[in-house]
Amino acid sequence: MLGFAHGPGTLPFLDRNPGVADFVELPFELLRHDPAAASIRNRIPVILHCASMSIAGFVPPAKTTLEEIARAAEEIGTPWIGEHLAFMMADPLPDLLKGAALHDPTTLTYTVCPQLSEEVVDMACRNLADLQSHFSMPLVVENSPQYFPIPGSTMSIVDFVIEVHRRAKVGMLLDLTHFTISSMNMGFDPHQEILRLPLEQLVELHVSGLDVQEGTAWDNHGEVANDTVLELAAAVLERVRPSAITFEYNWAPDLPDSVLLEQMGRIRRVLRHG
Amino acid sequence: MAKARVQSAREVHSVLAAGMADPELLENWCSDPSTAATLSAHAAEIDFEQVRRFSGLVTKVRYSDLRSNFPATFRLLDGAGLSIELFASYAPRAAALSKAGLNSKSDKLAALLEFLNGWLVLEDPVHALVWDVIRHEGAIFQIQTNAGRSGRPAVIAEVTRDSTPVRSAGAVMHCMTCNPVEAVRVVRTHGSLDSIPREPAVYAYCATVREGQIRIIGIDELCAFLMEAADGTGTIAELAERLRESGVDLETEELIDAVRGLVRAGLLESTEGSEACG
Repeated sequence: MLGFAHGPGTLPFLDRNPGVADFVELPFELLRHDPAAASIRNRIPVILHCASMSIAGFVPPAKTTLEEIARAAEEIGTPWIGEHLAFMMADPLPDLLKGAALHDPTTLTYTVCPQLSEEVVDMACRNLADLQSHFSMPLVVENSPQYFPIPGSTMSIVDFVIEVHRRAKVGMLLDLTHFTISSMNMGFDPHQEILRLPLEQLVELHVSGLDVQEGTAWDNHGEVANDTVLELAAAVLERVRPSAITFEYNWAPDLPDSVLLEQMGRIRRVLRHG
Repeated sequence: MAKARVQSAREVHSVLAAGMADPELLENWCSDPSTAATLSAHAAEIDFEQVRRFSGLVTKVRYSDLRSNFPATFRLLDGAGLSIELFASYAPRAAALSKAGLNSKSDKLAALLEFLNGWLVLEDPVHALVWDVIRHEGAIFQIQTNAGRSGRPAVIAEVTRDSTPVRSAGAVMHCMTCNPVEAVRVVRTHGSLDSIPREPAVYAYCATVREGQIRIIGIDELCAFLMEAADGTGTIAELAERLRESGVDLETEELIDAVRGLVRAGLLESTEGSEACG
């Protein structure tokens, strides 16, 4: 199945190109603020994607958040729920003078690459077991992009991802652009390292753009995937076939149809001949 | 000397999240990392400048709702390698705006334009291009947003020396370093920025009578003066006199012709002096 992450240009693109996509990936956070967005399932299958569960964090999400995710997942009939192997909630800063917290726990509206350590692998695996109990469909876990070294880390992001999947036996959402970004920023060979991942657990691939600024590679859903990302896609698809491949071009509604269709064509050719 | 504290992932996450949530705090830590080091033994190892840039990416994504109206601006900022540093610098302002509940596209645009005006170095040709393109797309956005709001029918009157010109509701004028329409075309087709001819020029924007259409016209110095001076308080004869006093050799008839052209283009309205004065 080939599909697109939901963005302002997605539905107009699908209107102009009927039948070109098999599904749309919908963010839970959009549904939370605009429940009417769920109506998209009446025209195309929907996969639910989340940035709310803080899988690799030490502060759990609110029970109501999990209930809302479970309700949304049932309502739209998603085959699985994607979530980031990251944190978005954290303990408050300590007040070193009084020994108390300076504020409430911090809740971000986006995900952050966690410390890459045994401590966090353990926590993520415990969280995944607990979180899965709230849902009737499987969770699949997406690798984070790493933009800078996280202090206290004792392993690479590749080993971190491998360990979490090995221990939690959870499905993999492999974001090839995040993987490429991490390789560029942390200095590893993506073509070699990607083959170390437990690809037999792969459920979904994400493909999007990146750009390099200030000497760092950054996620950019406003641009299409570069050759490295598409080469990694080919390397993965030669070995396994995920259930879904999602193009995350949801930041820039002005990407020409021809460019999007060409990207889809490249992946389809690999799927045919791989 | 600070006592070594327990080093845990919880603490690292706590410091990272606190900095990301509070761009001002993050800027303080960038300036003086030792202030964060008292919070966690690992904090001293955090590259706060990179965290700050990451907050720039997050802020840029939060402004994605502007992309549908500012596609070339965002594409240019990304392509020129400016977007991360721009939005990292802008993050404290964006956070304050959001905290004040000012989250509409117009609020965001006004704040971003004001910030950019101070942040861009206009002697740099790429920065100047960014300033051209965002004001170009901003003028179109502004006219589209205000379309149908004025409720005031266009005033068409015979233009004479006693007419009082006034800028049409919603008409906008910008001094550019290039033809912005051409610049947008090049940016959106990933062309070389060097291929954009650079020549200072003034462009005026207004809605046309046909709904949804926007007219963009390059105007000369005299028309630019009229667009600036036509505030509904001076007659054409008075404006001509002002020009002559400032050393411009010009007949009033020439100014009348210029006003007629701008009225036809929809950039000015012309009323009789008595009407304008109420």
